[in-house]
Amino acid sequence: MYSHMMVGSNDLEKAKTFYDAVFTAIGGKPGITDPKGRLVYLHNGGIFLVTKPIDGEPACVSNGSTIGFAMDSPEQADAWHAAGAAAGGTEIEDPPGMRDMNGTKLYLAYLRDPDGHKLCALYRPD
Amino acid sequence: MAGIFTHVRVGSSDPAASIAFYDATFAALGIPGQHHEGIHAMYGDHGTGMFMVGPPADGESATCANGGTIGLAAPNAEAVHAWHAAGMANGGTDEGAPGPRDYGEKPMVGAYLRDPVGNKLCAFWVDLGE
Repeated sequence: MYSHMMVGSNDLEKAKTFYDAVFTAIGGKPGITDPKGRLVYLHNGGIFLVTKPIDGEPACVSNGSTIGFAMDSPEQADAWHAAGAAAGGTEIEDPPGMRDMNGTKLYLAYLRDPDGHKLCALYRPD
Repeated sequence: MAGIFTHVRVGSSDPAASIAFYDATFAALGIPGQHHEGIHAMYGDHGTGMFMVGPPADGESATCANGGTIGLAAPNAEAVHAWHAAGMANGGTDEGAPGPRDYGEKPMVGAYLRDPVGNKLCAFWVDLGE
């Protein structure tokens, strides 16, 4: 369904510290800066970008929005959460753990990035 | 699980308007959806990725994220055009007309819209020569 995902940032240096930590914690690589000054993360066939808004206005957070990242295991979700919390992220919601969502078991961990974007690490046991 | 994204959720303070927009635009991409309690909607499945829209859980107003874009993959160029037309006819705002985009080595067709709340979206088809 998704070709890529982009979030806005007011501090790309802090964003790089945070996203480098969470992507490397799950086996990814640090971000590269493209010719437009955007941070680009390529991981498992997906593309995630962080940019300053192109309209020159400050980046802001979309209330009610969440971006979910796929995890291979509960341990990977824990590593993602710990790495992000130690690199400028904010722990939100319940601590990482298995949730029962209307009969579907999901292992979830939540963080806000340094700009305040809400992120979720999700492992689905099959 | 395909790719790195399991799901994306966006907030809406006017779920009826947002659901009308996403029903039309996801139908143009061939992605089915379902509604819950009239104020929540969900598109896709956990194999391909899911998209949800509904009121923010904190009871505050939804806001859009300046600088952000949600990129959707379209199955062909025609679907990019259909997606943009469906959005424009259902409360969306034009952020870039459908047409060729030169962002890489492969030919692509893309279009940009904002949803009724203001969340920025794009739909892209990349010609992989398949």
